[in-house]
Amino acid sequence: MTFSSEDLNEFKIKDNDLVCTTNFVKPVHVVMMSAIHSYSGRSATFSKSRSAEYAYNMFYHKPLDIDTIDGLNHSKAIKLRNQFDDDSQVIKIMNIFEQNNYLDAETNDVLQIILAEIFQNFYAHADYEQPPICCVQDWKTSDFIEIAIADKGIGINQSLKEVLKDYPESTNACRIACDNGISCSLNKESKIGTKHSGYGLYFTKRFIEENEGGLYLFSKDSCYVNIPTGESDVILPYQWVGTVIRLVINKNKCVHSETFFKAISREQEGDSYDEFF
Amino acid sequence: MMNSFKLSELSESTLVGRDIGKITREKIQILLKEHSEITIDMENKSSISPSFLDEAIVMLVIEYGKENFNKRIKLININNGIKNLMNTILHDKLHRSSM
Repeated sequence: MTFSSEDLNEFKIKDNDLVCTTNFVKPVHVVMMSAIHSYSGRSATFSKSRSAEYAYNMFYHKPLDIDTIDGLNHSKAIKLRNQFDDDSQVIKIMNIFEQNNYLDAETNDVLQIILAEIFQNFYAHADYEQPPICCVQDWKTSDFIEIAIADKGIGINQSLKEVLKDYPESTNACRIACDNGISCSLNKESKIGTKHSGYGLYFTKRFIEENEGGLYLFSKDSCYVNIPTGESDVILPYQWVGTVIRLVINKNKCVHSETFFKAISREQEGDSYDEFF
Repeated sequence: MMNSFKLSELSESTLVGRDIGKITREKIQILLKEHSEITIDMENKSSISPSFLDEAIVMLVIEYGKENFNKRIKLININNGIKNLMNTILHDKLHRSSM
C-alpha cells in the first residue's frame, strides 16, 4: 500500500449515480459508496468487475442492510448507531491493534483517545437520521491499517463558517480544521470554559505525523492530505455533502504518549510545562 | 472524611464528548457540596475523549484553582496516556487564558 490521494479521484458520476473506478478497493471507497447509496438512494457501483468481486468476497455491505454494488446484500462496513451511547466501535478497532500486537500499550492509549474524539465528533455533526458509516481494513501483509468514516453532516465549511470569515476565500477549510484550537475561537464568551476546543483533529494530525501514517480529510470541495512526504491541498473532481476522514495507521511506528502530549504543549513557546495531574 | 467514587458511576454513558463531560462535572460539583474531600477513581480507563476530560475534570481545576483542587479532589488509577492528555489540556487552557 502506498500513500496517495489518487484514491480519492477514483470516482465519477454517471447518470446521477456513483461509479468507483478503482482497481484496489479500500475502506474510503466503501464508506463513500455506502454513504451515497444509504443517504440518497442513488446507485453506487464499481466499474471494474474485479473490484466488485473483491467487495462481494469481503462482505462489505452486509451490516448496512442495503442493496449495493451488485444488488445483493453483503458488506463488512459498519453502519454506526444513531447515538454514540457506548464506545464499542472504538473498542472493536482497538482490538485489531491489541490482538495483533501491532503497537505498544502507550501508542494504543493515544490512538484510543484520538479515535474516541473523532467518532464522537462525527456523531455530534452528523444528521441524526443518517448516522456516519465506518469501514476498517487490516491488510495482514501491509504495514498499515485504514480507518474511514463518512457522514452527511453539516460539513467542515459550515461548522467553521464564523472562523473562516477571517481567512481568504481560497482557504482550505479542512486544513484549517486541523490547526490547534481552531474551533475554540467559535466561543465568543470566554477563552476558557468553552464549548469547543479544537483538540480532535489537531491531535489526530499530530498523531499521524508522529506515527508516519496518513490523514485525508475532505468536505464539500476542500480536501487536506497529510502523509509522510508532507501536507497538501487536493482539488477533487466532485463535492462531498458532509465529511469524510481517512486515517492510515502505521502498524510499526509507536508514539510515546508522554513525549507526544508534552511536545504538543511545548509548541506554545515561553510556557513551562506543569505536570499537575 | 474521604469519599470515593468511580468515574463510571459519575457518568451515565460513555466517557466521550462535552455534553456528557459537563453532566459529570455537575455531579462532581454536587459531591463537593456534600463532602469536603472526594476521591475519583479513574479506573485506568483509556477510552476517554479529550473533550470529556476537558469538560469534566480540567474545568474543575480552572474553577477551583490548582491548590484548592488538590485539597478537595484526589484522582487515582489514572491511565498514563490520560494523565499526559489532561496535563496538555490544562496547559493549553491556561496558556489561552493568559493571552
